[in-house]
Amino acid sequence: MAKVTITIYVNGESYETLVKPSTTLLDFLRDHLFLTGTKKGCNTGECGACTVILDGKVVNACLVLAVDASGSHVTTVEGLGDAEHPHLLQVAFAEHGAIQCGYCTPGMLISSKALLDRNPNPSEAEIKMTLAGNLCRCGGYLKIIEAIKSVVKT
Amino acid sequence: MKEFQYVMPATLEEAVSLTAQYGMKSALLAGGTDLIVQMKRGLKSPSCIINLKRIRELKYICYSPEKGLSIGPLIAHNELSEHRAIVENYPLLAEAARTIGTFQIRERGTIGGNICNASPAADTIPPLICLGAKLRLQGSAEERTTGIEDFFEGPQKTRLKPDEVLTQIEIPILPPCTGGIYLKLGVRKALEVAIVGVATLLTLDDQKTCVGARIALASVAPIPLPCHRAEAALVGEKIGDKVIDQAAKEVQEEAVPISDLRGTAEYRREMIYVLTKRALNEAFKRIVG
Amino acid sequence: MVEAYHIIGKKVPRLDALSKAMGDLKYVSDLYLPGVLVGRVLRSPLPHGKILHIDISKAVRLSGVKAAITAEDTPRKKFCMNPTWANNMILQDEKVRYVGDQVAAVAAIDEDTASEAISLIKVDYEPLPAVFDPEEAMKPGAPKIHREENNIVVHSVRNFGDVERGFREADYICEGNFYSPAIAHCCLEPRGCLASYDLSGNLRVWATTQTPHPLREELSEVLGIPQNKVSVFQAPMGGAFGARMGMDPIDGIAAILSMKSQRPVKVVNTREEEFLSSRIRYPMNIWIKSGTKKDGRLVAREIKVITDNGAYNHEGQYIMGNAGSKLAQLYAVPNIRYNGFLVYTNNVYGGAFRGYGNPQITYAMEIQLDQIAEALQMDPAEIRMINANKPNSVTASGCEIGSCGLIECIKTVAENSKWEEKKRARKEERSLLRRGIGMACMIHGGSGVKFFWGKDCNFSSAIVKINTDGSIDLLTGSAELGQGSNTTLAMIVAEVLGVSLSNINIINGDTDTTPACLGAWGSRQTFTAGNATQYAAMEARKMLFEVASELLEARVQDLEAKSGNIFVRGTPEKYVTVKQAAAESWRNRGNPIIGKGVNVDPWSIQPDLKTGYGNVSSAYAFAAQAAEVEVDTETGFVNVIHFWCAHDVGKAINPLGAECQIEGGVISMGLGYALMENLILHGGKAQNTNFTDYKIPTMLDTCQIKTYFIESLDEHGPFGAKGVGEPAMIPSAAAIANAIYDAVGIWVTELPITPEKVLKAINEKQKSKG
Repeated sequence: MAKVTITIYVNGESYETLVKPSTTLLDFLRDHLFLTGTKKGCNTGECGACTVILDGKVVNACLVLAVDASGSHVTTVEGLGDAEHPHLLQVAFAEHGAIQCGYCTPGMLISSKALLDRNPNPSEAEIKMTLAGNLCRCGGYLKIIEAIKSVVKT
Repeated sequence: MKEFQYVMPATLEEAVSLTAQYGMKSALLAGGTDLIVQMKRGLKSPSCIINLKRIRELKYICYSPEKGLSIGPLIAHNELSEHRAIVENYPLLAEAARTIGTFQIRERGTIGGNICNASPAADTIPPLICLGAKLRLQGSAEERTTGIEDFFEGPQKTRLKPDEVLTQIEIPILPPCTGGIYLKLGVRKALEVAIVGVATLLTLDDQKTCVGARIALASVAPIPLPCHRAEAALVGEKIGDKVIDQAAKEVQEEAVPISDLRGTAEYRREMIYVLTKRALNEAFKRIVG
Repeated sequence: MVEAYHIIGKKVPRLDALSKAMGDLKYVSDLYLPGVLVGRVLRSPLPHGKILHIDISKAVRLSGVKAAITAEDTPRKKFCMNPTWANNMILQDEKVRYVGDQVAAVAAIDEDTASEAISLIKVDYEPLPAVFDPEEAMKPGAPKIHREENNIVVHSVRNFGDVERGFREADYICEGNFYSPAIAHCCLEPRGCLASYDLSGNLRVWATTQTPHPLREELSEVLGIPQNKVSVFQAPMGGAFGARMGMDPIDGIAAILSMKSQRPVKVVNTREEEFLSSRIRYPMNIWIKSGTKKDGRLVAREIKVITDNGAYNHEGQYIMGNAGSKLAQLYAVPNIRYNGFLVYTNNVYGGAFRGYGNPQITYAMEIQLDQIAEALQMDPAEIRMINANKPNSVTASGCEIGSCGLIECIKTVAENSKWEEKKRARKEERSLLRRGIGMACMIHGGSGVKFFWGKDCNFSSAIVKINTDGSIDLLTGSAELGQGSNTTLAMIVAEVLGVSLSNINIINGDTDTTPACLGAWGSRQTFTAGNATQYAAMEARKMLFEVASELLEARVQDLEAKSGNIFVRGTPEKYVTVKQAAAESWRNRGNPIIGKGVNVDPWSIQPDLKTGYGNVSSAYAFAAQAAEVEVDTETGFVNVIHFWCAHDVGKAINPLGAECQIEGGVISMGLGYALMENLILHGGKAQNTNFTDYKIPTMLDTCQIKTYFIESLDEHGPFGAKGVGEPAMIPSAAAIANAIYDAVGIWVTELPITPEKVLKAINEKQKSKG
């Protein structure tokens, strides 16, 4: 089948390229753009490790076709901050012990950022509801909630 | 995933003509939260994917106290569950949408997708049945309207014709003194497919006698299940423990649950009774306060 | 005496946390080498069958496929972590023995081509009768899975004391059956391996492995490549929990695909493969009998356990043995009999999983103890206090308990959970939602064990190098799984050398550059690698002090290191910096500062192979956990509200790290193990191979949790520390089960405790009442 030209904006930069229609946004980010911060945990939209912000909404990148994201704005964990200017959430996660193996972390950070963008003062119930789609097997979630709350207070 | 052709019609007319052209070989793409998973698992391999998301006329929510609610199929579950008109006037639908999958799935998955995917466990369908929803379907030759109850044939099977697109979900105004709820039973508190789901809607007169009753269940039959016998048993009765108990037992009789990964038929049967009782009680409380 | 440390005991965020938060850290699936190919595996759809013929010709001819292999392309060497038990192969040649067994593999230019190539491989099987129930598999006439006469891998019996006499002398005896099912690790990162074989015959492997040095040895042995031509790099891991211990077939598959295609090859499991064909927690059917005196003191314990080994050997005999060993260890019961059968079936095979058999046996032991308490009308906390292990004691099986804070653990959770108050509270018989509180204890090795490879094998080694700018490199063979061991080891170096943590660079799990260590398992790294690291740091400090003593014209024994300076104790204003001393040693004495440390764990032994007697671990960790639940008596749904966890960790080197382990162990694993996890096998095939149908707790399923560290200061551990990784989840399920009993008067003895099972038990109890 013919490849399709897409233009996607990722972390503020625009990319124009040819992709097969069956390429997911997740594979596009990881394999074409080498933005490997977004992780593949299950590839079927159940673990949240591939969470990105797509036109302001948190979605599982493994369930979005890259062609379907043409013209859209995507934020991945690489777009949150860097060593010089880390995002408050990244610092809070690190300081509160909210990161163990780190595999769920990019997805958790993206979901947290989107939550705070939508509601700068979420309740604990809202935090849990929003992040319930980000699975963690190491950490038990409580330190992640603490980290988010600490950013809310500031 | 097997490779496919990808088209993105700009108008409804274009979309319908594509579905007519490709028929059963095509699949309509809304949020993709069901379709993409099915394609990855090899359960579906359409040779053409028709992405509906450019068609603005399929994405809207309109409410008026006179006409009721009209939703386009491309409304995502989160948007639906947060919309003021729906929260205020049709809370059980908002509640049901909120129980689906995860937040990420709800941001992307649509009500049209939930209906047309036709899982017997779909959460929005029992409330829609209770609310008397009508579906408007646009085909190449004609447009038709069907009650949602008549839309399902079997698990993952609807009566949508190969050349049709779902264009609207209409929900009428509810009479005064009407209340309802959707309850979902799962082992976890998120990322769950219902072991049993129960939607109820009751209308009372000023004597607290039931003048209208709707009950519909998820995960207890090959299709989402309206329980008309139980409903009939409630109409004309004063709502109380005994009446609710009998209605719940009637629902148990109407349901045909199976044993699967999520639970045995015996447990489901017992939960049908428990959840129906609770849902009827809650619906009643929501009316009387 | 409480020591004042400058960093030990402080809450320290992980050193690699920010790199993970940036999405910068590269896991195996993020790694690229030029020309890397995608590897995929063809797996058996049958639980048992002869492989008659494999036709890979169409796959080979597919454009984009660079290699397609079957067993013929491999050295056909059987492997297992301990080669004595080897019966698995990189690719099967004669038979397939479980659904998911590896039969062939391809390497292609991309994912789609690799998948298509797999679908083009035709395998002719002759289906054979299969057996899935270990009790059926034990019977004569059951289908033979391997060459052995019957399917019993191991039948082991252990006797300590005199169990018959013990039961004769008991005032009360209780017996019962318990079952723990197949459980999946659910590491968020699927297993992967990137292998690159170059034209000079060097094999480099980046693997999700907990045991880099042993993996190198295994790969070398199985592939027939000298060890010094095999390099294993432990990639950062998205979870391990025992799943990544020892070689996995995909490690060998990636290596051989690379050899054949002459390109790097990356093989990464799909999530479905993770559920279908990855090692699981060994299912165990446990019959247990306990006898106590009137006052609740345990005098005898006996079990018969039948463990489902699955199709191939991995660590079943050790895990089953470890489970059995807890009979004598927990509460130092004097008279023990353990009768264990490890049985082949055509199910997916087991492997190491956090707790190593201990969660299964603790579930049985700790519920039975509550049942005894109930019968004797004793408080469950009280019966545990009476039976608790004491410091400096020896168990009937020869375990030398040194440090032990179990009584303190029990007291701490009882006090903080308001145990007495809650137990005394009148339970409202008619209420829909009923609350209850329950407790469970555990013992676990806190330093690793010597039962795997040889007679005296539990070592770790480390090198500490101090550079001329004062920066420090720690080279450790240990594995960082995300459990925080790198941070803990760096803290030890920082404490010994008196420098700040930011000065320390850690290189770990790289077999080219780091000295050998057996890896991360058995909660051993804090203790074993920690000791080795401490020794290495101390040797480096000795070299520094020798130089500094000359520069300061002082005696070595009067020197102290703090805040990057070395000075005579009492006169900190007259100092040389670590940097100065290191540079001086390098430049003017030609003696670069390199400290080496090896810990051979001299305090434990490999238990006697016949009797099982011996001090299997140098230190033992203890814990008590209490759980409060609320049960919906109409649906059976159990809501866990609160956990109180008191863990004797010896010394919490990094309390933040230890807290993380415990919270994660209880919530992300313990809750799941207790209430919802079960890999459902029908005809040997896993049915729930995704995260919707195989349930692990989500953020909405969390409970509150309070953690307490009991610091019994083990004399052998670095700064007194013992392991915490596994203990975190060992007693959690039993605590929940006991809390449910307190709430609704029923015990569920078959895991998981689903709402359906709870409701069934409640209904049965009601029926029997009236």
